[in-house]
Amino acid sequence: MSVNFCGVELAHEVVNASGTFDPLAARRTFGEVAFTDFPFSAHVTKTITVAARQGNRPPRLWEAPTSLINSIGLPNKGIDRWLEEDYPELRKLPVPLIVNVMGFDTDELLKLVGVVTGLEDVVAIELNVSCPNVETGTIIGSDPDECARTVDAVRGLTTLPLIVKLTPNATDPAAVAIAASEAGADAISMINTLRGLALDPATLEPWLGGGTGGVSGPGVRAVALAQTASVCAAVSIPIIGMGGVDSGASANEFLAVGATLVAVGTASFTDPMAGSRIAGELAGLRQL
Amino acid sequence: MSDSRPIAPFGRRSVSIVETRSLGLYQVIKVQDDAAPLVRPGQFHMLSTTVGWGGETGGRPWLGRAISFLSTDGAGGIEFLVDGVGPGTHRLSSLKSGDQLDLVGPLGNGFPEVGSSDQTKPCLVAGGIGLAPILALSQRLELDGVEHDLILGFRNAEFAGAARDWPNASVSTDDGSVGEQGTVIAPLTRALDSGSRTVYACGPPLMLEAVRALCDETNTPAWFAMEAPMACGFGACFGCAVETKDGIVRLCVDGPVLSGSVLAGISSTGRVDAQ
Repeated sequence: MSVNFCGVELAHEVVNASGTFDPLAARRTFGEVAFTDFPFSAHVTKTITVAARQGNRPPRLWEAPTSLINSIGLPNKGIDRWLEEDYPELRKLPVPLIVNVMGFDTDELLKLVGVVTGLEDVVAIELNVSCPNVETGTIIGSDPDECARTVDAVRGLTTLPLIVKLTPNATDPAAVAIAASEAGADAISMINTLRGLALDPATLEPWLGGGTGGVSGPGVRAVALAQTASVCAAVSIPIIGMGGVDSGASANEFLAVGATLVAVGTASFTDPMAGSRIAGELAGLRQL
Repeated sequence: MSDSRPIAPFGRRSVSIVETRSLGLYQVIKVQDDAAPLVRPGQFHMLSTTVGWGGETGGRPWLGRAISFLSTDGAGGIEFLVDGVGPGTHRLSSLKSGDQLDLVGPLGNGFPEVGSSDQTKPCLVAGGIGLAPILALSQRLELDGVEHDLILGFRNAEFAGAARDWPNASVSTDDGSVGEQGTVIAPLTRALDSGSRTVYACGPPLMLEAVRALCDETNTPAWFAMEAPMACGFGACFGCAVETKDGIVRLCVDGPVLSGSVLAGISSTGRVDAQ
């Protein structure tokens, strides 16, 4: 069923979580149908940074019980090559774009938001504040004041809805959400992955190239749901809830605690069309 | 390499298993996949079972497993080769005729086309479970009438039982219980000494690195079907990254077959046996 998110009409409530669905790679693998039958009602891009990034050294994945631990490290081509190579193709998707960006300092973030805000077919900007900030040495997303400063810094640059993507690795995500909202954020998306550690069973040394990783999948859903409920109760702006959604029923739980949209991430890895299936199941539940 | 790879149907689908059999210590699962009958040697599928996937051994397996095919009849009959080393491959190995298999694929690029007019003779080299894409390629070359070397290495006689249907293969085992004692490197060295070759290889990282180094020394063109821990198989998760001279690439969409010319070395850190 169609839904209004920050003034944008979307065909249904299910979008992809940033960094979990690459439409261009999907098109190479599945052909044009990956675009024409795009599983989500909006496409949230993988995080874009100013400079190109290779990402973390492999290995990057570890399967844990009903979950996945990843240490990907934000590989991306950087904003200039993204604009030149990817954006013209992504515009051909039949759904609007939400562009996710991360700056390693305020200047970078200002540049990214400044560039993205002028782009056609982009309906919102998602700020990834769930990664280390090299300027302050803290995690912006876990500190209410830092988060408010970040939103405040870019708020004046764009009239597009600003979505702040929060980390669950915080003492009080609701306090960070309140700070973001008061600084002018239009929406909150949550949760990013939970910090986790996988050991090589043979050596008992860290398995992942990046040391620790982020945990996603159905195993984190209860944590995500509790945090989403707590933030929905604390702020009046819309929430994109996510964390282990793999069915219409689990998507419906996030809507039940107050989320406006639901994002699907790891479930797409097991079925590229999981988003369509979940949206269909959700519509079925709504008709009951 | 041209990107004329066979395209996969969008989404995961369920297919029936029509036959299973053992091949040495490995298990062969044959399915009838009418939705995607065209597959290229070196491509792979993400496999999981429709029933009994997850909930075992502490909630694993959960993600699909990237498995290469061993043979195709060109009309949807596809055989996968499975080595039961972890919770996912154990579950796949237990499947019986009539069971349902969920799959996504074919995925990845596959080996480049080998023409019968090519100047250099193809030399196919496999170690262990790396047998699957190499035998699939050998099958294709036989159909096309392309003469080629086939060099297969195994741990011991039990595993080497998998080579029984290929009497012309040069077989070596680590313990010498079947064929020549040692690795594939000795028979490969003899093949390279006997004339110019293009090498197509798949196997464990240590073997691939030895083959790569030998091909590099002898200026032999080589293609490697590689493996890395993989969650999605279609470029979504960025997990199956491997380091090349051109930077880090995603093995599922930029591989799994990579040219030796872009590889400075093949690392063992991405080994998948622990999973």
